[in-house]
Amino acid sequence: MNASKRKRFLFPRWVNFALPVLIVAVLGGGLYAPTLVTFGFSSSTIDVGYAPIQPVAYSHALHAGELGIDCRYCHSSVENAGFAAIPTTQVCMGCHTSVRNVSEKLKPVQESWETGKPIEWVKVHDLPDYAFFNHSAHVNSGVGCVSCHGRVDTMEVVYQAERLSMSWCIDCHRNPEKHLRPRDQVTNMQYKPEAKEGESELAAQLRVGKEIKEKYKIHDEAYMTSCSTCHR
Amino acid sequence: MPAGADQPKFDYINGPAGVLEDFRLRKLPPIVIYVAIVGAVLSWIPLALIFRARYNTSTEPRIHFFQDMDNQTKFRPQDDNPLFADNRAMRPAVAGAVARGQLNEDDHFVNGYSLVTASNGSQEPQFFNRFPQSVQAQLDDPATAQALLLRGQNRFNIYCAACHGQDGQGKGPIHLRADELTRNGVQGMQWVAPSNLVDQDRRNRPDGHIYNTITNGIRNMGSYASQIAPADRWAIVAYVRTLQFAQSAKPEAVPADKQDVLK
Ligand code: HEC
Ligand code: HEC
Ligand code: HEC
Ligand code: HEC
Ligand code: HEC
Ligand code: HEC
Repeated sequence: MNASKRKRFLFPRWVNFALPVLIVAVLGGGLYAPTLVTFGFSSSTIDVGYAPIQPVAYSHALHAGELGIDCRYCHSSVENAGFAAIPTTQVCMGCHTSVRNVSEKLKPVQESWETGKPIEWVKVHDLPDYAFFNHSAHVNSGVGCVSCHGRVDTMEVVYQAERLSMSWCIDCHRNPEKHLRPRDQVTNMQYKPEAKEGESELAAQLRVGKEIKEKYKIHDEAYMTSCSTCHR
Repeated sequence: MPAGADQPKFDYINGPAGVLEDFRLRKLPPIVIYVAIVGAVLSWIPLALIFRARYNTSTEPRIHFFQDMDNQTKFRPQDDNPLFADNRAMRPAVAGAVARGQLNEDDHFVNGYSLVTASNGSQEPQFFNRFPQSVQAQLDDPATAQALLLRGQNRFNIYCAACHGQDGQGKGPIHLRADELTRNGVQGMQWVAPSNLVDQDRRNRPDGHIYNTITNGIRNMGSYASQIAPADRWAIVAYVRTLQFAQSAKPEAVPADKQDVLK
């Protein structure tokens, strides 16, 4: 038989084996692609855990945790303004003129103090500019720092602990009871509501949360989830 | 030839020349197998990266696929602005500028002292030894007095207790740590113990003097004016006076209906 007559329409035999491989690949790929998109594009993956390198090796674990300085000592505008002020050099120097004032780690702070040039901290939490956020509205309604920033008092370097996505905001705006606490406890990182006998922690939180929701006259769900509350 | 292949409908295959079965490649060609294996292995890499991203912190900036209007050409508080030499978008107030509603109309409330001309002609501060009228009015009414003192306590515990201790005796956590570092001979420690706020000297200070200590600092203590508003400073002064009173009070001073607290 010569070669020219062999131009026939015929799959090679190995194609029989390819079929199961193909099925596995299609099913596998069908699972794989959505998994990749769901997890890969989720804000827990791309946003949470951002911890930029800061100009000073300042540690919240030391200052807020070990030394127990209240958050508002430094972030003093958090109760009165939308923006939680990052402390000025002067606030650091209140202690550091006489504490470890020759430390290498504090050089940039000393320099800033002498030249008057501010320390350029890198912003960690950053909402898109079209979203409206206000700290005082939350802190004065009994939402603790820990609900949105995690256990800052154990962080050597601050990182973004929560997703800060729109669904995350709305989850709480629908059911704020899970997060509400008395106003004087907002900076307490370890606050737990007092549980009555035989009551679980969650049940105690929900009970206290409901009471506080009444007491502080928190808006209803319709208002809290309306677009213009956060996009104004 | 496979079974049944001799039926007429397969004539087009069988044809005059017949079919040459290709016996060389019964199994998958190696290249297909390699590609499949490499593909299967590589497909774990994105999963591993996602896993790492979810359970680790990263110094790399966040990825935002759709930038939309995330970063608008406006300045938010404490943003940087390269137009200015110090990169500050928020400009520090020009010397002498007064913000609306912050005009100093009342030396007593804003400074705690008034300037008097001394015999040698220089201007000397004279501290008021009472509270400004608006604050005194709040203290005179039991209903508002409690709120004012609780506010003072709250602010004191935030801003002063770190050094002076919650009881005002000067044994706050910062003092304890700094004192320890000094005793261990750590470089760069010029720590001076915070004053005991309830001792006789501090009791004798005029109210305005304590107020001014918060505003402008004193000797080794820095200023707290940028963190604490004037009304809160007066609330703190009132609370310091309360601490001084409480820590020297006799048991008889406790009202009869609260006596059992002492037991
Ligand atoms: C001694 C001063 C000080 C105290 C006390 C303090 N912070 Fe901070 N905080 C800073 C400084 C300085 C920065 C900026 C540098 C950085 O991000 O680490 C900062 C940054 C932050 C950030 C990140 C801001 C951003 O850029 O998004 C958060 C959140 C934060 N602090 C929360 C807290 C909380 C919650 C507490 C109380 C448990 C607290 N801080 C106590 C000084 C302080
Ligand atoms: C209320 C007092 C207080 C304030 C305010 C304060 N610190 Fe400190 N800081 C301390 C003390 C006390 C230590 C020493 C702790 C130790 O070494 O045990 C310290 C240590 C440090 C260190 C480590 C120094 C070294 O050599 O180990 C750095 C860095 C630092 N602080 C940065 C800052 C910055 C930046 C600010 C301003 C945002 C600030 N601190 C505000 C009390 C303060
Ligand atoms: C309801 C959630 C929530 C609570 C409660 C909250 N924060 Fe924030 N915080 C945020 C968000 C969101 C941002 C980012 C704001 C932006 O980029 O506009 C932020 C930003 C910050 C910043 C950076 C400066 C700024 O305002 O952008 C600091 C500092 C900070 N928070 C400290 C605190 C402290 C201290 C507390 C507790 C007293 C607190 N936050 C409570 C959500 C919260
Ligand atoms: C942990 C719970 C919680 C989270 C998370 C949260 N909020 Fe809130 N938010 C509240 C509560 C409680 C109030 C108080 C409402 C009131 O006083 O009626 C509030 C109020 C507000 C207000 C003011 C409403 C008004 O007009 O009084 C705005 C704006 C707002 N939130 C935006 C946001 C945005 C944007 C996010 C996400 C970045 C967010 N919030 C995340 C609980 C939360
Ligand atoms: C509780 C506050 C809140 C409410 C209420 C809210 N949003 Fe948002 N929205 C946000 C935040 C925060 C973001 C930014 C999320 C991010 O960083 O991806 C956002 C983002 C968006 C985006 C941009 C998405 C993108 O990635 O480009 C759109 C569109 C939007 N919101 C529409 C709406 C509409 C429509 C409503 C009313 C049904 C609404 N929002 C109600 C907080 C809110
Ligand atoms: C960083 C630690 C620190 C903090 C925080 C602090 N102080 Fe002081 N304070 C000192 C030191 C140190 C002295 C003693 C100064 C000296 O003798 O050189 C002092 C002295 C004083 C005195 C005595 C002044 C006199 O008349 O002799 C008063 C009153 C006072 N502080 C009040 C306050 C009040 C009120 C606050 C809160 C707003 C506060 N301090 C916060 C460290 C601190």
